[in-house]
Amino acid sequence: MNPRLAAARALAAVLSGKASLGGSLPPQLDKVDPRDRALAQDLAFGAARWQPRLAMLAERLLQKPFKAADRDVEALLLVGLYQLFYTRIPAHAAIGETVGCSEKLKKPWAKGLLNAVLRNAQRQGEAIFAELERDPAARTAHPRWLQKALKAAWPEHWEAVCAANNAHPPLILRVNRRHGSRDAYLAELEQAGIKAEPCSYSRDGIRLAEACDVKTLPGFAEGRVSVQDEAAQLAADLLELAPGQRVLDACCAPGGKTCHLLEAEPGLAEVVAVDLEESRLVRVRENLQRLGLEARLIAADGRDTARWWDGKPFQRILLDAPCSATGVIRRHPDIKLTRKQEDIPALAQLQGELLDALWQTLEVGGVLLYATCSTLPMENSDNIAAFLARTPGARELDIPGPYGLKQPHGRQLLAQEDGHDGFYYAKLIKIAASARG
Amino acid sequence: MTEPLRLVFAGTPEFAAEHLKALLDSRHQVIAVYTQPDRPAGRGQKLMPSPVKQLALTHGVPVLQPPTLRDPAAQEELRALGADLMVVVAYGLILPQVVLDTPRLGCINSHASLLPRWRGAAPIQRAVQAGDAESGVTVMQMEAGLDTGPMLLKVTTPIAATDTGGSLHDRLAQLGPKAVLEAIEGLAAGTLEGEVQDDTLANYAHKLNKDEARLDWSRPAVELERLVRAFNPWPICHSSLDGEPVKVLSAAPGEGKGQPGQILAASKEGLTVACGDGALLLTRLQLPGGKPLNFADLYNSRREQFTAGKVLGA
Repeated sequence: MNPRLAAARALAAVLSGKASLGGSLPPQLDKVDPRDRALAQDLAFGAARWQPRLAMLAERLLQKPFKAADRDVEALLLVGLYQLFYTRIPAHAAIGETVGCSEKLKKPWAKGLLNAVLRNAQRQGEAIFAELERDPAARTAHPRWLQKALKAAWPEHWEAVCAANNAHPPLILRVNRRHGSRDAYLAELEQAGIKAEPCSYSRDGIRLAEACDVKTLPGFAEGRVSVQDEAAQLAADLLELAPGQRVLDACCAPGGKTCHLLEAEPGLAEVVAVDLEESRLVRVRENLQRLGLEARLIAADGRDTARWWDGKPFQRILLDAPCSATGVIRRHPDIKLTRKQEDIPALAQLQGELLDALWQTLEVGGVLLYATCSTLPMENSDNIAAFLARTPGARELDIPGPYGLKQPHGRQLLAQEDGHDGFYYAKLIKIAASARG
Repeated sequence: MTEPLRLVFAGTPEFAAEHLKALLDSRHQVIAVYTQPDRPAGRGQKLMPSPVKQLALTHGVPVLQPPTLRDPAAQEELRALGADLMVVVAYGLILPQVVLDTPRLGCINSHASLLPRWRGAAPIQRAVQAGDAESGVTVMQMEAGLDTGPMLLKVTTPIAATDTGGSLHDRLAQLGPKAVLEAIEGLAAGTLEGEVQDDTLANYAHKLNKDEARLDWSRPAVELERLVRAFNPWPICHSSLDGEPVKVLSAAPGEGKGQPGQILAASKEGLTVACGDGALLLTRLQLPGGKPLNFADLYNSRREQFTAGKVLGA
């Protein structure tokens, strides 16, 4: 299959709200010649990354907006525009190949429309973009609600955050402490001719100079390294693990942090890892197996403690809560298309419910680490403020940094170009049972 | 007088060792000591026994160092000791309910704060930092909570304007053991009753960290002055000058105004630095590779380094 058609079909599913690229792209890639898979992937991710900007350009060139039934044509147009303005594919090839795909859509009218709009874009695109520069949503290629929310939350940083969201993320590894030091692994990489350097903040992190197929890394299959962003790697040390502790990972899939905390403290009494669906635990199980680690996996809603909790309190809880994922847009650019403004208060509500339920399972003196990959205060600092206000016996512990920005509660990491993802941490200690008998 | 009690003591740092010393000198019998496992310390990171362990060994008291008390084997070991009472001082491990219920008279704790004001890890320093007028030691009956149990006895001491974390610690380490002995007599005689704490007055005394010790010159001078005292002798407040770290060991309120961090004046009295509100007079500093020195000595030898207008922490 033509890589442009595959990208457009995957993107169309995202535009119509049926899937994320993570779900819709792989089945399309299977139909593409292996040589062209990287291109198809770049076209889908790139078109999603720049969609807010490209869609505004298309709007200027189209007489009327697309109907819901024509998302496939719209997606193909975005893929065409992306090639014209963000790749080195020659314009004639980009236009010819893209228009050529329209026959497969069985919409004969689309061929003329795509041809006309793409050729117009080639002629007038730069001028229209110059005009659009005045619109911050177009300039930053972020949906307007998100651009405004970021500006309100980070008046000094929002443009840098948007730029980081549009940049390509580095590939970060986590060295398994149980199998030797980071320095030793760095030396091994150097011998293998792979350029890499230690991360600034995570003691286990390594940043590769260039992305590569991780299966080719020394010791990957034997579990000596894993792929995990630096920001996510901070959780294990923030939990202050010690031998004998019983630890809960409340929203564990895909299991990166579950594995990291088992690597960091081999003397833990037990790790219980909960996630909503059995299907999501498959990846967790695979990760544990590759790394030779053990945890008790339970498929359940974390809020429904009656269903999964045995009544034995935990000394440590990691709540990596479901969130808007606005901190990892650079890794999942389709978040720009799938996330809606009204999702945020709903997520904050869910996060609050998880906090309340899990707090009951924490031992007095125990620590709960709240984490999200969101950069929106409503899901983070505001949420923790509300929790502390309604929970006697809960107190906040300081997170000293040096990374991130200190917030009224917790610490916010904003995505850094060539650095870590956007992430949020707050550390809570239970100094008394909430309900005094 | 009642029968002497069989005591188990659990503690780790110097503050705890002072308590253990008093118990060893008392009419009661210390039958075993719990302390944290030896930790690597100092240059060479050799395993170092805690102050409590060192003292126990010189008195021939058996020392137990389980990594956790959640382990059933460790709990069984404690039960076998048949103690009347367990005295816990800055032990550093959380005691599960089964452990609290094991000794006949339960577990008591000597905590270096007037509870419920400062619960948690660093009550002495937090009291100085907050500008509290007084501090003290509270002996409480332990329950499953972080310093939340009923209070048996309190002794107080005023916090002077010159008190540091170190000086207050030393004073409380003198008061604590006496209070604990008194509480033990009261418990043995059955004359002591606990008073429930008011949770709404509780604050969590966060563990100290070095990042917090960096002087943020945009803060008011009064706040920084208290921080300098609270964090002496550890972790010691610090800033930087010309890109080099500077440790600030003592300071007093100063006079003047300026951009936060800016040096306003230098004299034998000290180095005046502008803060967000007011100014701070730094009187004792330590420069990289050097000893702690009174500012007068630095002023005599390296005056050019402290010219007015330079900015600390820039």
